[in-house]
Formats: sequence, C-alpha cells, structure tokens
Amino acid sequence: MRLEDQAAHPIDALMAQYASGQLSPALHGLVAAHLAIKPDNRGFVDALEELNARELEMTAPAPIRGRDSRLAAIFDAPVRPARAQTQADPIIPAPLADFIGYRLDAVPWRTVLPGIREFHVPHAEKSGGEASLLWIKPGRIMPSHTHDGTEVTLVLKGGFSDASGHYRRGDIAFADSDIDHRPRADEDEDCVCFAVTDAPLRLTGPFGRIMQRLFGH
Amino acid sequence: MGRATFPTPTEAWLFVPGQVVHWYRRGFEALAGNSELAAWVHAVARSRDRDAFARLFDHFAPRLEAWLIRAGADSGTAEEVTQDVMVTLWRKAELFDPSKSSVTTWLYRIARNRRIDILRRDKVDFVDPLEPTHEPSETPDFDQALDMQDREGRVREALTALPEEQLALVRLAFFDGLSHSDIAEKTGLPLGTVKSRIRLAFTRLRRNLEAAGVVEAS
Repeated sequence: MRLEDQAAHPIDALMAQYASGQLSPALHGLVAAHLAIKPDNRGFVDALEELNARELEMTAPAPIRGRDSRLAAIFDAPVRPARAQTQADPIIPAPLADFIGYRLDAVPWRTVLPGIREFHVPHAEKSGGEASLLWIKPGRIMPSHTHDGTEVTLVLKGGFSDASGHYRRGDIAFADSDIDHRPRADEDEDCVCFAVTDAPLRLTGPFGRIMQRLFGH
Repeated sequence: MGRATFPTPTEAWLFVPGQVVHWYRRGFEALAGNSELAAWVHAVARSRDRDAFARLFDHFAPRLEAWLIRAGADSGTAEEVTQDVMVTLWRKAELFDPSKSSVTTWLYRIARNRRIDILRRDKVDFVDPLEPTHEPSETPDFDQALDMQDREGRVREALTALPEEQLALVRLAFFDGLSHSDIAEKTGLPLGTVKSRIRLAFTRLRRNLEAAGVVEAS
C-alpha cells in the first residue's frame, strides 16, 4: 500500500457520492439508513450537500418552456395522493424499508445455508447493482464469495467481524473483489445486514459538456 | 517526488494557477440573495403568496433543470423532477427551516432524492419528497452554534484549500459525476490511481472541514 492510500477511507468518497446524488437507489438507501442510525457522518454530508447546493446556484439557467402554464399547474393542481410507503421498523430505517419493500417481520426469506437467510431485492438490478438483505445466526460464517465491484454492507442488527475489523449496527463495511471476504456473525446475537454490490450509475454525458461549462462562464 | 502524470498536456487548462479556485469563488457570490430567497419562502408559507412563489420559480426552476440535465437526466425527466420540487415548495414551504439550511440546500436535497426515486420508477408512483423517508436526521448540535454565513465561508475555504490537483479530481468526480474509468480515460491516469486519489481527496476534504470546526472530528 502506498503512503497516500493509508490516510484515505472509502467511506468519505461514498458520502460524497451520496451527497451529490450519484449512487444507485440501493446504495442511496443504504447510506440514508446509515445516516439515520449513526450521527458520525451527518455533519460531513451536510457540508457536502451545501457544496452541491452552491454548484446548483452557480449552474447557468436552462430556458424554461411554458413558464406560465407550469405555474398555473402548480397553483391549481389537485393534491396528488402519495403512494403508501413501507413503514420503518426498529431495525430497518424508513429510507431503506421503502427500498426493500418489506418490514423485517414480513421479509420473504430464502434459506441459503443452515443459519443463513437471504432476500434478494428483485428490483435493485434494474437500476444498477445487486442488493440483498441477509440474516445470519450467531457465530455463523458466510461462505467465501467473490464479486466484481465493491461490496458495501450496512449492519442493521447485531454485528460481524472480517479481516478488516468488527462492525456493529449502523457501521458500513467495504469489501473489494481482491479481499478474502468471510464475515463471521457475533456470538451473542443474530446479525441482519443489507449488502449492495456496487455498480455506480453513469450520470453524465460527454466530456465536451464539462469543457463547455468551464469555458462557457 | 515521482514522475508527474497528471495533468496530461491536453488537460493543462484545468491547472491554470488560480483558475479552479477563482471559478468557485465567483459562484459563491451568487448566494448573496439567500436571505431574500428565505423571505419569499416565508411569504409562500404564510399566505401562499403567488408573486413570491413565481420569483422562487424563476430563480430555481431554470437552475434545477440545467443541473438535472447535467447530471444525466433527459429533458422530460428534468422537467418532471423540477415540477415536483416546485409543487413541494408551493405546498410545504412551512417545512423550510432557515436555521438548518439555506433554501438552495433544502431544494437541492429534495431534487436529488426525487431524482433517485424516479430511477426506480417501476416501483414508485409518487413518493412525497418530504416524507420522513428522505429527511435527514438531526445533525448533532455541534454545528448549530456556528452562524450559517460563517459556516458557509468555512465550508468554501475547506474545499478551496485542497491542492489544485485534488480539487480538479473532486470537480470531475463530485460535481460532474464522471465515473472513475471516465476520469482515468480523460486524464491518462491508471484507474487504481484515480480511485485512490479521489478517496484521498475526500478524506482530506473531511479533515479540512474538521480543522475548520464545521464537522465534528471522527
């Protein structure tokens, strides 16, 4: 490991991507749940959101078509009924419960191995990445697995350890494809985790757009 | 010092001394009207003042649409998200709390979250962007003591105090939303180097914010 890598932690870049809206819905929900559970990164994310808001303020305005009719639509439109959202429970905070679509006590689990259950969120792949909720009995070891991108895991209940450390409720663990990833659940409690294999969304167009922005001001 | 691999000659424009920093400073001046924006939001909240709302619409709708298009949305989606954000502003202006954020930051969060919801549209019909789902939890009292104006200045300084090379990477990755492989391609840097430098840049930004007293030390 080079010197400059030692000081950097991937969670800071993840928070930056969250703040600027660049994460897949699955990872966006994961980070929102992390922020709801643990206060540690809230101040950093607030500051990053302020920087993005300044960027918005600086953005050269786009022409608005039909300004008057759009205003009229806002003033006169009937109230749209909002979709009923999956309610939060004590384990899964609201932003994530809504993404998963189930409360913890209603999740349609599939047993993967004795002591390990999984729910694969079916719609996650449509918007990039794979997302699973995992329930691991105390002391169980997840089978060694590999994945292409980075796997990001949020602990929702209990805790687990792997080669990189010990993680409790609200903590985020990162596993790159080259890491031997065999998490072991703590002995004293069931462990529930939400794991996302990252496939970041590509949100911007050609490089020329940036050139245009830099020179167009 | 090792061999300088960044910038490549074609990207030298990114590193004109003072250029990137200067560009940011210009933008911050645009925020001078923040208290005026907050007053308009208050007028909407108090009496559903249509003139005040129209002024907010004229200020924010063109910027939101431009920002969304830059973030990769097609023009139809950009218009839809912007209209949803404006409806939320019209109906729920009383939920804006000027002691917690600027109007721009508040609307930015609503727009960002609404756009993420639309990315999984097959599941989502309409999620009220202000449902607790997307409201961030209370930030600890730590930074409440700082005057907002003072805080904004410190956040700005923490960013511009980054070395220019890192500031340029932050710009590409954070504001322009380029993927790591796009940045590698544009800069000629190996992918692993791009990844580690971006991580380093954000960790350094965090340390700068901590040193400035804006973010509680981790």
